[in-house]
Amino acid sequence: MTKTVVISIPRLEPHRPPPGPAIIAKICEQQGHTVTAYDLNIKFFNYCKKQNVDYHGFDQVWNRFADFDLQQSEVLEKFLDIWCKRISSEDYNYIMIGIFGISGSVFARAFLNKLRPLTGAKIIIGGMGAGTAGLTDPEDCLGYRLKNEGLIDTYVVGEGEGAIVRVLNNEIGPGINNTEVSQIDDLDSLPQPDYKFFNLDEYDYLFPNEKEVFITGSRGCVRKCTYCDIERYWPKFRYRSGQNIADEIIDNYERFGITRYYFTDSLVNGSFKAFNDMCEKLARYKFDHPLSWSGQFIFRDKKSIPKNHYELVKAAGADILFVGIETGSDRVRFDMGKKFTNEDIDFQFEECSKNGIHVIPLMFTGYITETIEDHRENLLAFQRWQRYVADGTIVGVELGTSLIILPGAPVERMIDSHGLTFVVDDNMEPDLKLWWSEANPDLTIKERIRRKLEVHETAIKYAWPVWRQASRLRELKELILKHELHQKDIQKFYKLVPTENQTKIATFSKMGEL
Amino acid sequence: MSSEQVNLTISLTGYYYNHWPNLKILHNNVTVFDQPIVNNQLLTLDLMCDNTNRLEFIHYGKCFGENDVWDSNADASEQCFININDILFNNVSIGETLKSKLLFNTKWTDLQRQQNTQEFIDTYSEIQCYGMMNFNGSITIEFDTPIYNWLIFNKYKVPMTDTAYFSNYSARWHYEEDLKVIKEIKELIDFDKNCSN
Repeated sequence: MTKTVVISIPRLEPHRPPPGPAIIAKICEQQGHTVTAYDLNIKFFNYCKKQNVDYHGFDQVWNRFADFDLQQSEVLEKFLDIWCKRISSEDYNYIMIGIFGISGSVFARAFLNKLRPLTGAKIIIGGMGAGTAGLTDPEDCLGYRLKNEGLIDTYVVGEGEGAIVRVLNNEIGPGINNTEVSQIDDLDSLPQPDYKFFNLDEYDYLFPNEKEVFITGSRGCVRKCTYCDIERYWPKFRYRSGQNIADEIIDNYERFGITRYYFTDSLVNGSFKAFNDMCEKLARYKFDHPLSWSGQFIFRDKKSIPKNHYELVKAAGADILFVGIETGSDRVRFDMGKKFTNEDIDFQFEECSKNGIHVIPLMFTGYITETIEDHRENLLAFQRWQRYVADGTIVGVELGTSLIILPGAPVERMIDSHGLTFVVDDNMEPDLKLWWSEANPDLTIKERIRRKLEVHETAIKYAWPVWRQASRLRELKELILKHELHQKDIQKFYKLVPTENQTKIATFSKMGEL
Repeated sequence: MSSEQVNLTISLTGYYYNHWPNLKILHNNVTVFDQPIVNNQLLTLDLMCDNTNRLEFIHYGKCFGENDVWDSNADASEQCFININDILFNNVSIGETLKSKLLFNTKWTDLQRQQNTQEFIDTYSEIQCYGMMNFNGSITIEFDTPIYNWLIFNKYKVPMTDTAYFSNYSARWHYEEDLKVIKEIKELIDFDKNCSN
């Protein structure tokens, strides 16, 4: 019998079990393997607690802003010793490691450096983190580098459900040891995450004694917001039927008593029909304990919203909707590809308010086309919608970073047309947060920083529930210090232009110092 | 001193016994309402508010045996009283948290003092009342403007708990760290130079 272990690693939120490994574990079981799953993220979280070490103190390390301090280094070392010995002693044929994002790369490397010499098992990595690459060479991803270093046997990029079966059958193809994107069209046919592989009692639930899990209703995004790189990973938007999503929720409720969900979708209501169907099914089901779910949500043109829609959404269990309103400037929001206005936002805040649905607006400052007038309109938003903070509809606000020119995002394809110039670091790598545009010359880097601070101060002036933003400010300060933006005018730039052999993910060559 | 016009909406219910209960409302010691409350009433008042304000709801004229008149039956199951169901500033409710903090200060008559034990008087001189005004007396709310800021801080701001940073909802409205880093950044960068503000 083939023995397989599926492992997730930090950094993940400690509040819910990881769905990706729960799906992969299920697939391996369907393939006849004896499967064990370890969520080393929650194990590490609890280990840190026991050792009286701040788990979240590692964030700066996972974000690669800082190195381990002595205590962190010792704690991680001991933790890895324990788990690498245990895993190697359990004699698996396959060790599958899910790396959620780029913030998993530091742990992954430390883990693999210890584990690889101890085991003859085939080590396979997957998850978004495995395919994370830089702007200049998309093939040079974490998986590629780890494989070249002999730390893993295979890396899977993109959707793993199909790829992992092909890997087990020694097949090759898109997403297996390459960054080609292969998408699965029929999401309803995929196995659902099976949480029996995890100990659901060891999580740090946001609401004590209320189990919460992730759920995915769609992949990709129905919108093409210019700043977002989702299409790089999932070019096509696909979604499950409303019935299928509701079935998963009801099944988890009946098997494990789970009543709280967090949607991982780019937009939980990306498909209006599927979302509406799900809401109707959930609103009809008799839960003994109230169901509640949260997730990212799109506000639409108010004319397209049926009467009583938000009443249904509430009846289906909506708790917190994270809504990318982005800015208080209609013009800039349209430039971003979001086709709704401040009036549409007024209407939907009011609907949420009437129906007791909470909202966390997601915003950011300094879009590529933002003028000083747009910025002033943006500032007015905090007064305009303060009423919804006061009545408890708006329960948080994400003020974001300034615009990052993400590889694969539509805005990356505007580099040439907007004449973007980037600051480079000591290794002559462009910093994607530090740019300015010939087409909008007033929006200098300093001006963007100034506007960000002014937005932050305005949010505070109007008593908005600014939340988790001090860390963003600290990162901004680090960035300023790193590039010495405070000490001199920025003189070192690289201009980046598309190469002739541009792939669907644009690649760029350095043209030399200006 | 800055001023702000605030729309005040008060949802009230008056309960009849011998007469409808009398309510007087004072804003910064100025009477802005003085009438009996008949059944359910929604009062709307526009107030020109200062930075700090005092709103006083006074229930008066209820008889507790004076001239042998009692504005309640023997077991007090029926009586003349007022319930403040809700108070809204600029259409936003004070909410359950603030409502639960409403204190009723009883204005005892001499006769009531004679009729009741000192323990009774002490116990019911200040009552956590959730808006109910049974005795004669008053409920006072002190509020500041900007009114939404006052509502937000008083309804939602709670002491910071020691929870994981990314999940710590209690950190909301604790701006100290944000303001500190903003100040540090401003000290680093000369924004007067090359900015379009």
